[in-house]
Amino acid sequence: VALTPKTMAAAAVLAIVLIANLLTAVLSRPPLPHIGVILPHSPAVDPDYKEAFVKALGELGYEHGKSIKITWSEGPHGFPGRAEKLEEMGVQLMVVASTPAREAACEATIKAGRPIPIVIMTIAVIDKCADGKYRVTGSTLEAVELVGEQLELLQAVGKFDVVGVLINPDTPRVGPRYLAGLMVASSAYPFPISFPEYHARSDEDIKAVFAKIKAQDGTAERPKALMVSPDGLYREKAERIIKHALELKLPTMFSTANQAKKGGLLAYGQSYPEAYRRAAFFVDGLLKGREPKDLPFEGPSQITLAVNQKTAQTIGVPIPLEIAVRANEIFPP
Amino acid sequence: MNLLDRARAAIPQSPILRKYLLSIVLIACFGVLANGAHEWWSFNNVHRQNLEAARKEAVRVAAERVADYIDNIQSQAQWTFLPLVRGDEQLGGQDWLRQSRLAALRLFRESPAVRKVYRLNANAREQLFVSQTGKDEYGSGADWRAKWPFSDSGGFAIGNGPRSHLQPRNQHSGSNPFLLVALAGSSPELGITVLEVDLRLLWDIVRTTKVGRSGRTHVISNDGAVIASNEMAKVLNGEKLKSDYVRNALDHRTATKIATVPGVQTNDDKEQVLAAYAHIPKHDWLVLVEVLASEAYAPFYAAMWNTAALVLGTLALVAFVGTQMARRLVGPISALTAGADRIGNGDYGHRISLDTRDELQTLAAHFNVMAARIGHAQAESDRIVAERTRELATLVTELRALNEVSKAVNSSLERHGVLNTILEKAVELSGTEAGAIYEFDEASQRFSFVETQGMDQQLTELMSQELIGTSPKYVAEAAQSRKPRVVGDLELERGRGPVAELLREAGFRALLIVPIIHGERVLGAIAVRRRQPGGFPQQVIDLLETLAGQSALALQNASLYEELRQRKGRLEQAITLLEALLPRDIVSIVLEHGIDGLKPQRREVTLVFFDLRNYTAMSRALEPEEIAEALRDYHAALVPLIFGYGGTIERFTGDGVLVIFNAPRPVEAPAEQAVRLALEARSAAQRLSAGWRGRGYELELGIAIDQDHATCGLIGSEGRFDYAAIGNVTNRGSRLCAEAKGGQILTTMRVVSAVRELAEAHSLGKRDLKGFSHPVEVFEVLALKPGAARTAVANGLGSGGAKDSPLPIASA
Repeated sequence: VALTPKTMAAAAVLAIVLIANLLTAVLSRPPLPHIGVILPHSPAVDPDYKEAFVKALGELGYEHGKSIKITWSEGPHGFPGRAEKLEEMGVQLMVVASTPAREAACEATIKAGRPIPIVIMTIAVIDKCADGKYRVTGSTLEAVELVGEQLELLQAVGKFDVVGVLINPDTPRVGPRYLAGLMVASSAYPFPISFPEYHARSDEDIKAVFAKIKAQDGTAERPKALMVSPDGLYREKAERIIKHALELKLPTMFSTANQAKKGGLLAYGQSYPEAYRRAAFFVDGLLKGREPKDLPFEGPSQITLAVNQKTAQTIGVPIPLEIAVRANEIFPP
Repeated sequence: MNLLDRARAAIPQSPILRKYLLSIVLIACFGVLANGAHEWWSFNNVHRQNLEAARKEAVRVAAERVADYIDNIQSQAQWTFLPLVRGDEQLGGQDWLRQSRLAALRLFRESPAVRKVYRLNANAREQLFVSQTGKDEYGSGADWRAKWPFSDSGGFAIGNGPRSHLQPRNQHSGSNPFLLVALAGSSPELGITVLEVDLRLLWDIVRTTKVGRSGRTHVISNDGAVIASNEMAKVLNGEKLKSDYVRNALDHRTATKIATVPGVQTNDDKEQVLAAYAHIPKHDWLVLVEVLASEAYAPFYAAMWNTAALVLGTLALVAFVGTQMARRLVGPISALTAGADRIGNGDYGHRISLDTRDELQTLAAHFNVMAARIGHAQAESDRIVAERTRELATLVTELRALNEVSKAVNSSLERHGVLNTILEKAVELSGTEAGAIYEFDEASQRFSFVETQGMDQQLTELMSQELIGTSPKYVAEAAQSRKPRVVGDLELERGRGPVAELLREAGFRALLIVPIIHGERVLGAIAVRRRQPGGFPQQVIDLLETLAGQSALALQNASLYEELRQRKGRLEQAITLLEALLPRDIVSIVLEHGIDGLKPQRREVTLVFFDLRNYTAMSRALEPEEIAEALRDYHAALVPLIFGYGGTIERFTGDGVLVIFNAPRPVEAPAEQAVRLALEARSAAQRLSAGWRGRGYELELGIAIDQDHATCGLIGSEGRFDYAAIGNVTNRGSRLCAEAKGGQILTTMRVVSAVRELAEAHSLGKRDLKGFSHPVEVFEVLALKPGAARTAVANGLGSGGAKDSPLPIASA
């Protein structure tokens, strides 16, 4: 075909039409679904959770920037403000991975008068968010409910009649219930177990707690082991806690494998990566238009027992057979 | 309708674009539609089969996996039936149970779906309880027989192989739905192990065995309750599937291991699905695989849409390309047609501009060449026609001029007018401003102006003065060479004499001089002068030569005319003289017929004789002058009367006059004429006689008339001829006249009988006439009869005033 002005003009017109179509398609494309995720820890802590969530979303066909827009809100503090900020950004739903975050999200949506769906990875909803007008679903982490098993596992290591309990006073939904669960569970034991409470909400507090325990050396009140409540803050502060605990050769019980990996003696609880993975399916269902009430809450699907043999050697405690056969993850020396 | 119109009417309105486009579109449509039909066929014959196969495969895999999963858990649970021995030692109660607990704890790790393990004795009493979430217990002794459907329902038949039992979700505790799997030991003392299996762990298995993106996989128990599903909510909500096809499948579950459900079904979620199912006989479960019909058929619909889009796209493309191609074909053809039309309509300057680089362009080029040739030929022919027209026009102008000149030459012998016309035309036709005609005087050998044109008075005078002295050089040259002389530019011809100087000063630059030649003689020259320098076309020179010829003719004519005029004058003088000397008719006949006209011939003539009485006597008595005067009066009275009646005076004999009628010129009724003459003459004579008597002469006229045959003609010999009538009648008349007295008119019988009607006559009786042997009867004419009076016959031969009117004799 000769390059006459006529054909060139025709080609130009064709190109313009194509570009116009393309532009219209791009401009008229519905905006990407926008979700907000509130993580109760800093990005450097437990990055595998986030990865699991992103990977699961990817398997379901969601890729950030292409088919979904994810706004991450990470850190252990300031949940109400962060939730409100996400709300203001107009996210279509929020994923929250801690109880205070869930409460902040609920409050934010109530305040905004726009109850967007909330996917939780927290303890069971027992507050006003459970009201049907709020659109909440997700996995309940039965960390509190697993407290009896945690105590049993800890007692298998040694006979600890004084077990310190580390509690975050800022999360009343977690600490007291954890403690109450321990009280109930302890009744099944043939010997009395006391649970001295230690409150910590900051590094200084933690330091002070261990200073206090150290000060109790030689006394009957001195805890023989420490159970750390399944609080997001303590996942954030795991290394600091473990450092102090190792200094005092104090056996510890955590609730996530990552904490055991960092030096905690034992960790027993819901698999967090699995929970994050499940959260992706809730997000998928909700984005596909399912109502939260049609997506029932789920309990933990996978419970993990992690043991750190190095820590056991360091503090000089044996790993009993019943833990060894059962442990899903053993961190060797 | 003429030929051209008919040819135009035969030009068809070309529908090539339509035909071309239609055929291309039809061909393309056929291809694309055939492709679409093939895709439809392949969907029906292949895609459906593929879909079915995919469903079957998925449901088979899902069923196998589910069965394997449960089998795996069961085989793991076998560890709880460890032998009651360690080494050789048989283990007692607590040790054995501890061993059993370790096996259960290990099972938690190996099979995370197992949440709780119950160790029962053969009577379904709880010996050990191991939990992932709570405190383990030894020997609680709880009785589970009532709670779980052992033996009687056929579910948990102890010692009869593994059995499973679906336990609905415990809503109030929020715990997960679970499945109870019971295994009996190989011997009753090994008791029973019951596993609580979290059903959601099956989710991962069914999730990965779905068909397509929206596919669903359900595992249901024999009552339709959902055991596992990739829609977790169904499991969590403890739903039961009730749709028609599921019920139908449950009814027929034992008949077929794996089957596809024909047709599109509606599932519990009111979705249109294609389904397949597989039966797991060990657990009496059914695995269902559903594919959304919309998704299953999506590839087909997509293919159909693709085909439709392809058809439309192809049509659009074909229409576009076809139009373009057709345009490329039709456009040039239209251009060719339009161009041919324009060329056909005479626009030979039109060129068809095509840039197709193919045969059409070649054709257009040929068209253009043809148009150029036709145009060239047309232009050439136009040019020739124009040239011919111009030449013709020039020729016509020249011919007209020459015609005028010829007319002038022919119509006028007056030289001035003719030469003026010639010069005027010469100047006009040669496109010059001035001109002159010179005449050559052979005697003085000089040229002088005859005519001038476009020259003012002064120049003419100055030149005339110069011409007196010398001949103008160019004119002389032309005359000498006898050929036209052309002077292209006087400015370049200095020193050629005063005339040339004068002309140059007058502003003339070019000259053309043609000599006027007649035979060998140079008569003069014709010259034209132009203010514009340059030569003269041959045509102009030829024209001027023609005009010179005409001038020569005019000049020649003029001189000839002059000569002729002079001769004519002389001749007229001679004739006048002759007429006076000779009888008038004689002269005229001689002038008309020459001398032969007067050859003697016999004819009847009437003669009238006049004779004066007493003349002889009186002539003796009178002086000759007086006699001559009397005779002059007498002749003056008589001669006009004779001519008036057409008579010819034969001779004068002193007092006598002989008049002949009917010779030499024939006269009608000569006798009557003669009688009238006689009577008139008698009257005139009587008046004269009265006058004469007053002067003392007694003169009277005697008249005789006779008629008879006579020989008339010239008589005489070389040197002297006379016209005479020779015959008897001459003598007789003469004798009669002698007989007549004064005032008496005598005649003969012959005359009287001829004029009986006219005149009165009476006989005087017979008289002897001298020289005649017999007496002749003599009559006297008295007068005209009253009726015949004055009916004079003008014979027309007389040249004078020979009328009946009274003659002017008295005045003479």
